[in-house]
Amino acid sequence: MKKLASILFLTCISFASMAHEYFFSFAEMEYNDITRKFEITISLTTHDLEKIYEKKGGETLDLAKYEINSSTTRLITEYFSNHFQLKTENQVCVLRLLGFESSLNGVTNFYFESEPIDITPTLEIKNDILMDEYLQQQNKITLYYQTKSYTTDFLSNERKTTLLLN
Amino acid sequence: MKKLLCLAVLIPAFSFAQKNKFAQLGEELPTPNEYRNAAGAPGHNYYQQKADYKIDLTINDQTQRLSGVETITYTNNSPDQLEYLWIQLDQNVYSKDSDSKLIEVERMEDFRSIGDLSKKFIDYDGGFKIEEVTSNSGKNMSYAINKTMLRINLEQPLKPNTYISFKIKWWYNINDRMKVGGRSGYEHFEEEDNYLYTIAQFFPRMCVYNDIEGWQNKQFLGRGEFALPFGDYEVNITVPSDHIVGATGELQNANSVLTTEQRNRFKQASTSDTPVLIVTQSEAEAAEKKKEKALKTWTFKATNVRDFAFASSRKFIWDAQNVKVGSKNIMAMSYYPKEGNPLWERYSTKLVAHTVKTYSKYTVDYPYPVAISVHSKWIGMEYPMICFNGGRPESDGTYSEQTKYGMWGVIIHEVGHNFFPMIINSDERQWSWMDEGLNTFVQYLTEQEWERGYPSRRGPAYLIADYMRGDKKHISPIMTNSESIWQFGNNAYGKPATALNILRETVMGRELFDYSFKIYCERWKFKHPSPADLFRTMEDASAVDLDWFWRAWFFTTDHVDISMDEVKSFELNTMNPDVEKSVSKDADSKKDKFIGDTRNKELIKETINEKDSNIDDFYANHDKYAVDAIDKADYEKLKTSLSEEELDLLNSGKQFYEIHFTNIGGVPMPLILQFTFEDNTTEVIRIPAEIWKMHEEKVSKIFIFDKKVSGIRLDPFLETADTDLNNNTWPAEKASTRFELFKSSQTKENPMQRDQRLKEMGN
Repeated sequence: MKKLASILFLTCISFASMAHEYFFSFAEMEYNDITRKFEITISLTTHDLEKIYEKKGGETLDLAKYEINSSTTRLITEYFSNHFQLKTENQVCVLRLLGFESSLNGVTNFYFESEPIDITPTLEIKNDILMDEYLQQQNKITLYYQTKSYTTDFLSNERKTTLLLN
Repeated sequence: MKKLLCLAVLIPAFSFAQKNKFAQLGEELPTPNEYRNAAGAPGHNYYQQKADYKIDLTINDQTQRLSGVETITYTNNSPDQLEYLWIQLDQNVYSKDSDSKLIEVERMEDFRSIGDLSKKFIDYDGGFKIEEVTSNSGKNMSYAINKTMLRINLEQPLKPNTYISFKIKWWYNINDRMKVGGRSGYEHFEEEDNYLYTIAQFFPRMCVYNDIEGWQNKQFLGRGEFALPFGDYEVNITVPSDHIVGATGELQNANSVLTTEQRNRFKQASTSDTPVLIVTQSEAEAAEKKKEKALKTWTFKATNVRDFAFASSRKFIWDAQNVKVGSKNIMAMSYYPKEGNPLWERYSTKLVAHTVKTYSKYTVDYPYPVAISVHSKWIGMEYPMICFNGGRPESDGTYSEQTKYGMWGVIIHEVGHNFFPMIINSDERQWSWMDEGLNTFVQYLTEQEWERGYPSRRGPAYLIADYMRGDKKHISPIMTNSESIWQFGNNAYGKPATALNILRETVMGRELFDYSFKIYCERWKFKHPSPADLFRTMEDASAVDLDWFWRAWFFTTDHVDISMDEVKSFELNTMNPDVEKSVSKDADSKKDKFIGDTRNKELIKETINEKDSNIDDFYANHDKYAVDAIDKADYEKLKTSLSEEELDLLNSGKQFYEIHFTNIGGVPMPLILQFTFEDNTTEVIRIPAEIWKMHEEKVSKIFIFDKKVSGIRLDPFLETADTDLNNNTWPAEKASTRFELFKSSQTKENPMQRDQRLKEMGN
């Protein structure tokens, strides 16, 4: 019999209400041929991410209070390293958080840059940001590589995809 | 480079696809009839049903149970006789056997936390407990319950233009909104053991019967909201005597439930244009501690509303002010616990007043006597005259700017719902966008009038581009039933709101749009409009053919991406040899030179023909740029054949630009072009979307100027939701990514490094 592995002690999050109806994130990605790095901006609804930590108890994440401290940085880095992953045919891409900006309209942009990596004809992407908490969450990415752009989306039951870069 | 302008007779190339974007909406819309006419207005035989309610309610504050007895008087204004009546039991969405739970798609890996698991085991016995359905004479009526719908089987069909009255007795356990979720319910403040009730969808409500659906009895699954007939309400609400109650309608027994001081303050508020406290924070805090056991009954009456909701708590602070719309005085009011302050006392009622006034300008005059905003953690939900809104500061009384804007936005949005769908009463169960989308559009207008540069989340065209671009497999057309929509927020709120913005700013213009939109609202206030009624009215009142727009934006998932593929420049040939040969010479001299020629010129000291004068013949000495007598004679002859106007045109120096466009995304849009000239002046030219009417994929257009163009931008004001700005410029210019903008706005150090440096400085 299979057992549930890795049970995290989150408390219940239940939003059947009409709080905002966004549940959408967008990642704009570009591969920089010169630096051999991915340059990525992930935009999502600020309070969706904050609410996860509020409900979890313990450490809180307040993106509006612009404090880049070790706790905030660590929480964001940990979260995205678990929920946004790139993998070429040869290696996993290591992403580094450069900063974030919270807008007054409720959206926060997170800026990441990868370590130098050689791009390969296929790129595997996992993007399940906020999906563990919100079943309706839908994420979308657009990758600009050379002269082309590639757009794809992710759902809670389709969290990974492989882009063919031709 | 200068080219000869070749004047050719163009032969139109008609190539129609079977159904191009400019085909008129035919089978997509219902056939106009006597109930809804072809102009988009109610037809000459339009009818709607009426449902009047008398309800007695009691909240048990010990058990969080709501019980009620209601008398419904249902008037059949339809031409049909009705064998049965359908009544909505929305609370049954919380029944243990509710379909809403059963139809959730699940996988084992979704249960990765104890929280995920605990949701599966929440022990909440929700749903209506129907005790009896009886006629006015007390006789039991036959009925059947199908999940969230109750059918009363009439002994005799209800004939046209007759009515029936009957009674339903029921109760249910109120849901803990913070655990179970929901649009309504209670919040328990554990530290002080007090409850704040926001109660809605709480009573069996008549379904809509009309010419479109017959009975709108599509089951309530949780997302597609409500379809409700208008009626009059008289509601008695019995609650602990220290509770303050706000509800749909006007309070009928202030003398019984308010103190003299509260009544005096209410009277003062009714003529004040700023909020006046009717219950102060200290009074509310005193009530929180005392916890009265006795009961009081509050009575409210509401006329011509489609629903009834209320809020009750001893925690409520209550303020109010007058807002005038036309000649009507309206009480804008707010109810909030101390946890809502300092935000709520400062802003809520002012936002209510502003929203009522601004929406009235763009839609219809607010017809009701009160408009209420109730503080309710996390959610935003709307009902006639009353709505429940989030926006809670931190426990220490501080709040972020985002929280403030979040609160402002949700109050404007939910109060705005008074107009869509409470007054302009569309079918939410079928079409979420008809209320959410239209409301979000007017919300945007209202926000912009609240504060210049208000950071609206939805409305401006460019904000929808990320959602609409690229992969379409998980996007739905707007014209999709509420329960089946991918990306509900963007689809039902953002995209239709953007559509109206594009119509207003770009396709129709503000004057035509505002007039037509107001006509739609006036036509359908206190009625049940359908999508076709909106589509038809907007065209009918403006003389703008919008079928292409509705088709592309509402019936497909196409997006906007128009590329400027090629720009060719031309000048008119003046035919004057003095001018043209000089121009040719100048152009030839500017041509790139082969490196071998340059080196040969320097390194070959003397060629044979330079040494031997007998080598060069006529051709060698001929100056092709020289103007001879024949050239001059020909030009003189040409001049005599031209009129003075034609000659002026020939010598005008006009610059011609032939620009080629491709519609990559599929949605036709006007071409908005900003030309920048060599002298740095600019000119904007707008080409209507109909340029695509026969050539859906590729078009070209000539632009003629007196000056040379140095640059061209397509959609320079971000008004068409173009998803790819990289193909919108000439000469080609790559639009900056968000990442590049972030990097360019930074100094060499990123914010983290800066923060580190501040720490090192001891700050």
